[in-house]
Amino acid sequence: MLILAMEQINQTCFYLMALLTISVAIIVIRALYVLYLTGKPHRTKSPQPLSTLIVLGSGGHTAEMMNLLSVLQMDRFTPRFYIAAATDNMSLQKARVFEDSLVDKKGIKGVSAQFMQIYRSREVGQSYVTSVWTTLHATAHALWLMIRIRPQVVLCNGPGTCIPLCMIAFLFKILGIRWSSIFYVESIARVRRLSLSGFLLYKLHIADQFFVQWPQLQRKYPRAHYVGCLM
Amino acid sequence: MGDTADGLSSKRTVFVTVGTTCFDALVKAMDTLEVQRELSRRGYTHLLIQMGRGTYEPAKVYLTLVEWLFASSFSAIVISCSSEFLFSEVVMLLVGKSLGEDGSVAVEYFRFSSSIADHLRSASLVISHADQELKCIMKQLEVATVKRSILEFRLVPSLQLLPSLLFHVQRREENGVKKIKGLWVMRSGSIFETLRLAKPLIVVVNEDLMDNHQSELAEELAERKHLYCAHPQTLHQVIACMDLESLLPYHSGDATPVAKLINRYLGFPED
Repeated sequence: MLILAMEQINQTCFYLMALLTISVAIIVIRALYVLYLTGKPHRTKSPQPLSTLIVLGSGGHTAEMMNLLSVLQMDRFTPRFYIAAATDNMSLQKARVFEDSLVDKKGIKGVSAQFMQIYRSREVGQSYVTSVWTTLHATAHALWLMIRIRPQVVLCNGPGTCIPLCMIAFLFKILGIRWSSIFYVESIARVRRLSLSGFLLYKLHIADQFFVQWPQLQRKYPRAHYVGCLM
Repeated sequence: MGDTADGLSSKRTVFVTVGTTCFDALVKAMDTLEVQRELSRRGYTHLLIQMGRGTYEPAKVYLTLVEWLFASSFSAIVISCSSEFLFSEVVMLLVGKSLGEDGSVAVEYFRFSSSIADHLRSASLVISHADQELKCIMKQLEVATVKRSILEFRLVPSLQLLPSLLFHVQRREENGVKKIKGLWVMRSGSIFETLRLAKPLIVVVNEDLMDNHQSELAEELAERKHLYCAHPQTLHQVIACMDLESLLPYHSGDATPVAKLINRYLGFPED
């Protein structure tokens, strides 16, 4: 009786292990496939407008992002979701002014833009040790926002605010929830070394397209595109 | 008034700002004889220091706020450091102080204003930093410039404050003050803002800040001759050796290359 029960447990264990191994293998293969496709451009005949997540950093980062948005054809990036750090009051204000100016210019009624705030993973000057916990907290909140947004395009240029969002966008790709293209523009202030956010997104192959504003950086990170100064 | 104007024209002010941070090394450097001798050799007569949270108090700094604001701002070298700057607070403090005084206020240094509201009330000119509506404001200011025959008047106020700003400019003119030639408002931490204003700029690198990437940018731009870059210890040498004529104007970049690459990547047709 006892032996029979033992055998039963052994069998269950075996099945569980097998299931686990298979699912891990599937996830790994899927992740490798996603990594393989990362950076490979889409070729669609008649592209539809893409829902776009725009991560606003703060001061200088936001200014650079607004420069970029002002030259993008906004009808292609619709609807737009703006996310800024909860401690940053100015950035969303800037985005609102920008969206209002679009209405004035094109006369589009009911602009499809939403504005959201997120907890910051690391404040300027915060130590890297305590930033581990704050990053986790920010990630949970980011997950909730990302489930609601599920963007097809992610535009970001640092700092840390964009990391959880990009990670989740990448996770969504692996899980097949949503395929997205992630664009990262390194700040103009980075001349010789990448920022921590930039370094992570570059090294982990999360950013589909990675832009730098100084030639020195492009030489050091050959997958990056040198685009000149945005400011 | 005319006498003062003549007197003012010979006064050239250096404005030092450290923003909201603590940058004692810079304030100390400004307080050294070497730096002050070099500044005076170069014809700068006044020194205005905004010292933020720093603890080091300069021994003797003379400054005249009204000149700085309304007359000699064109000859000012702006020494800035890499930090965020509550610009509105500082300028409000400046303006607040300059009011009701006869023109030569000697204040040794200041940190930042503790009560914005008080200064707001006492100010005849309110400038706060907010660049989101910059283009729109510039347009309005240019119109205002023509109407009010102000030669050059560029600043970065927030939109809500603009009407009161223009009202106050007008009022000052009615009172016979015709000296409002120009006022350059810059945010420290935004090197590009200053470069765009074509002001000679020395960026002093704060070595105490962790991961100070702003210095990377300053050094690169110094290499390209758009500005001078100094450390607190080398500031006097930089002032001694600098040749403002050799500085090259900075041409603002744009984001079209990024937009092109993004469009191509996503399969949107190029236009």
